[in-house]
Amino acid sequence: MTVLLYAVERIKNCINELEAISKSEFPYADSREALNQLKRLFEDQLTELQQFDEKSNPAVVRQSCTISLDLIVKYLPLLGFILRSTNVRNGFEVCRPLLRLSKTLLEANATTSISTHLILSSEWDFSPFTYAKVPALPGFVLIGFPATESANPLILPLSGHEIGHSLWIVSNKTQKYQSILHDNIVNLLTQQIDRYNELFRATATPATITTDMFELESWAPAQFWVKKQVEETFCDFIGIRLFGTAYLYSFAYLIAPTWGSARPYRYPGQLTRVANMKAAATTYGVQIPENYDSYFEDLIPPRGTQTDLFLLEIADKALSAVVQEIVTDANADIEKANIPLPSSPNQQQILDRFHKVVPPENAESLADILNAAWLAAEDSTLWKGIPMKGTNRITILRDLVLKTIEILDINQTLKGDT
Amino acid sequence: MPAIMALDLNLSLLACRAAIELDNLLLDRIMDFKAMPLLAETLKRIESSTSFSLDPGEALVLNRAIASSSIIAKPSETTDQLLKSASDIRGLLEKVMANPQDYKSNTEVLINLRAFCVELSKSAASYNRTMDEMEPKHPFRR
Repeated sequence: MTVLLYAVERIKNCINELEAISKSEFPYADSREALNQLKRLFEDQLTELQQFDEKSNPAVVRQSCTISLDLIVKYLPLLGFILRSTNVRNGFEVCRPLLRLSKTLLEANATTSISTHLILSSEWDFSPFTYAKVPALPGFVLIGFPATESANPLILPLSGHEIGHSLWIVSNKTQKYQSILHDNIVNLLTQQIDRYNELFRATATPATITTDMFELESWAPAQFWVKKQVEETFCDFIGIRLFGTAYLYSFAYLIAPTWGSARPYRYPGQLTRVANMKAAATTYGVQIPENYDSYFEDLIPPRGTQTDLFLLEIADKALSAVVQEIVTDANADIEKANIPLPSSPNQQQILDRFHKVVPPENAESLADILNAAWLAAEDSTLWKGIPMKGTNRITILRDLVLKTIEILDINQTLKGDT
Repeated sequence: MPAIMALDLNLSLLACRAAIELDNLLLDRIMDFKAMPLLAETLKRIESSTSFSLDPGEALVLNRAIASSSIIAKPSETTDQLLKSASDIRGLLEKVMANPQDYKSNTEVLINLRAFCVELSKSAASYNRTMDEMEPKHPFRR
């Protein structure tokens, strides 16, 4: 029973930590709600562990202890994430406008009734792509920007990608794409059956590739990776459709030209990803920054065995066959929520005020503000004639954008959109 | 019921809780079944695939659990056999849930189902972990 006692102690310590964190001052209720839900999760786990006694089956007890440890491993970083949502480095002005946007999109497309929550926090990893699927927090959009960028509103369009992950879950997209991806993978394997047999030292035929358990085990990773790649691609398209050109700029700001890591299997290659985003932008009528390709380089080729790389190649091809369908799908979801594309005339009005270093009082959407912000950021002549002694122009622009978003929030609140 | 149980994202947790319910039944402590119906539902969803369209990840997780627990005489070599096994196991789960008292004297079925659920829990956890471990980590992290 020693292992069980250790497991009980570990879970109790998590609950104690959750209670301590709950005493923090949270700017918005959603962080506290997340803590409450996680506390219930750990309390359920504690109850489960405490019901065991010497008569309980040892294999069941040990597996429950393993599960409880797994929960801690998975959820402890999330507690840190929630705690950091209290930090004043975060741009609290954007929380409610982002929540409203998420709510509109998710609740229009959810297959079951959900209540949308949003937590904006910071990460000590230079990637905003974290906590996409948290089973214990359904309906939560978790957006964590790198700590060094968390006060930079210019990267806010990347939150569109994170909202996309939540949309993927609530609208049950995995199920939607399951069959077509399976068929694509099988067709591609069938076309390359000789190469498959050579690499895996197999004797598969087009008939047995889907029915022989041994063969299924060999090519299962291709199916796993393409599902992830389709999800990431969908999320990029949601970001583009929600935030237009601003998404493309913020994506480039964060990861161009490349970083010194091998390509993750769950993402398309970087240049493919950019090409797919351009295709989506063209379909949506979103302007692509000039020479956008030239911002990027491909990542280091992925590590892996010959068979891994063969299966990745199959996954990549299976993705390319559905890109256009994903473009259409992302657009349909956003249209269902009646969210318009960012509007050029509105952006121009906002930009005109930015030129005067004055926040506009009637901006209509977060997307318009962020597109105007990027136009201003990219304009090397901005405020040329205005003396700004000792102050960085980009710092002033960020403050101006945050103030504009704050006014948007006030206007939305006054209209009764809480 | 905790929120996490409402989703089938975490098969590992669900299977473990089903194992606990079966263990409680064997110990004559069962109150009601919460995880077992969800597990039966998950198996039913897998069964709804054809032998040509079975998700390979789900198939592997299930077949490894069957092989490790010996609930079925031998592990499946084809997807047809696997779908039949999934149907048999679901049938057993449903019979136990419908008439738990009938199995007080026939504990072998419960013991086998419990072993299957433990192995399914392990198999589901290890499959996702294996796939995740292929991703590059931060260069300073080990």
